[in-house]
Amino acid sequence: MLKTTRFCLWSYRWAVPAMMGIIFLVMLINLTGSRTREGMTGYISSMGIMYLTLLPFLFSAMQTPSTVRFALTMGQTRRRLWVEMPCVTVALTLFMDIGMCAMFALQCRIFLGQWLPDAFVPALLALLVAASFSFTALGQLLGLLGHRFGGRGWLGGIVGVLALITAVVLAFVFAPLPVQMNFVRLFFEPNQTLAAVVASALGALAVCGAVQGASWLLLRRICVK
Amino acid sequence: MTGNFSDGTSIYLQIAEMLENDILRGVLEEEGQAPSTNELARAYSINPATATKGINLLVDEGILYKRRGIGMFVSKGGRQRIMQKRKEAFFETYVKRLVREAKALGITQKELAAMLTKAGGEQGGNNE
Amino acid sequence: MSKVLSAQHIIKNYGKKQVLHDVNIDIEPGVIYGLIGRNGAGKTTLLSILTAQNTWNEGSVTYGGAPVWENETALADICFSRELSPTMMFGENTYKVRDYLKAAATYYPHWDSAYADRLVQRFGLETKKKISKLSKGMMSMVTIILAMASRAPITILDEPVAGLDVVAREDFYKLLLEDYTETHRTFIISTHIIEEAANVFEKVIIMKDGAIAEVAETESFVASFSFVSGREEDVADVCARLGASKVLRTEHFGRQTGVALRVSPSTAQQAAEGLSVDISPVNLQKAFVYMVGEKEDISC
Repeated sequence: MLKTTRFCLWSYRWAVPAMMGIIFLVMLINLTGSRTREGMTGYISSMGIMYLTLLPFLFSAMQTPSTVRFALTMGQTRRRLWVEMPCVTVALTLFMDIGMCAMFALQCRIFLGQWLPDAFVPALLALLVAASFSFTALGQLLGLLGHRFGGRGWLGGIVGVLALITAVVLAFVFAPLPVQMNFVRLFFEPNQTLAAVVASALGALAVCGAVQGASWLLLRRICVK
Repeated sequence: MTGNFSDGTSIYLQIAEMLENDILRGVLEEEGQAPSTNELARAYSINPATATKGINLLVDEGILYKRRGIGMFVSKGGRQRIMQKRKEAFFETYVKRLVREAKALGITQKELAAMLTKAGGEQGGNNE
Repeated sequence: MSKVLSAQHIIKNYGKKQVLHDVNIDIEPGVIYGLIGRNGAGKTTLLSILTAQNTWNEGSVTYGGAPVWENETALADICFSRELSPTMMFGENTYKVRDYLKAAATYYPHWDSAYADRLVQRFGLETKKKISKLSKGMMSMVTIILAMASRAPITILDEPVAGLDVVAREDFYKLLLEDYTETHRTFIISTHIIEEAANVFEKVIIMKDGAIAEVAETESFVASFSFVSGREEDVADVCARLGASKVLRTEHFGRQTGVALRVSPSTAQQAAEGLSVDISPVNLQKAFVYMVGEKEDISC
């Protein structure tokens, strides 16, 4: 069961914590220089946003081609591999997110004296985590494109992801005011937390679902020379 | 035991020859067990199919026989058959050639017989 | 366990270039095959296709009559141990030997861990090392261990002895035969080191320029070649008697001429009746070179 997922997690069991360690040290150095509480909170929060989305995306993109190649050379069918891909997404994201959240919490504890940053909004964390899963999935898709089409695939994939992000941002920016307000209320009102979490989860599912669909188109005739 | 094959003849023939030599020397006794294809394959680093071919050759010539479920055994009278076979081969390869070469060099039968006696004397043994 | 792995009318294109032209082969169970061909002949491509790891444009690949493509049952019986090579950051070579073999255990249903451990000991492999940090010889050994311990009914090795020195190579042939005499599984071994391995192959598959030139029992294949040398005129006579189509290669050295012929030494002997020429048999490696190498001017 889940041979490729298990193998993936096992083979990166040191690599991921190592990355965490490096990020931790870098942030530690930067935070030590900082004076103001707002500055530190801002730094931790912005780093949080960046690393929870960018790191899974990049890591996922880079490890997908070799994982796919490995599974195929070991005799796994493409169908089974395709079924395992969301499992790999979930496993890797959980692995990274748990590590990173723990790391950020630790830094808040060290520099802010509390486990959470000042302006902590649970709904936003849910959104970030959902984004994290989405970015891992997108990274996977990028990796597949790269494996299948080489340089053109990588480039096209990156352009595609940037276009997607731009589209989402623009959609929000140019949305009518009521829609924008609904969105803000959903995430910033305390008693809407559950709804926010559900909305985030649905969003992540939608992205992962789309990625899974697109992945089949790429996987079904993928080959190892 | 690898690498003791010569390039000239097929491996299976060389295997057969080796087994024959062992029989002549008494290493393999009549009614005694002969090595199996797997044993030969492992010992000489050859494919078992090649060993089988060599063994089958000897089976066809009545030198070995198979006991179902047990293995290959040397036939009674196998030694004799090998000697006979080798004598015939000796005639075909050496003797005919000897005669042909002698004729080409213009050596008469009498001269040839004298040569044989001389060679027999030099080498010792019972060449008449 | 007597299923035949069969490729029929396989055509493979990379873009506009056709790399496999109408390839047909039946891999009989329980035979050790040697797959030999020059670089670029299409050996690895064919093997990838036989194992459904690569796609093909036309034709079919079946195992026991059923298609191999996306067929879990079929693929469970097949192990394709490819060459490992030091490449980039993410890849097989970043894995430790131990992890690699552990993973193999999960993927290959017939995997024999005890056997793998024995082989690791036999080769003196450091399992904690990363594959990329291994010497070429050790890398070859990992691919060999993968293939052997997989205990797959059809085991394919691509250049298993490439990095090994002669002593290690001899050990490999021994190991192969030990396993084969015990399990009688099917082996396909693709190799450039031909003559050493000749005794181990029951059959040979010769590939040339994207096609299978010949599949034959090794011994009878080798026995169908001969080399005739002597004076130019005498050799020419022999060629004429046998027919120019039998001549594979002509070599000149001084006033002597030598030809490689696709006839058995005994046939050549008969054709050389009355002529003073030397006739010698040819070994597998030479036979292969004569067959796929360049012909020189046929002056016969």
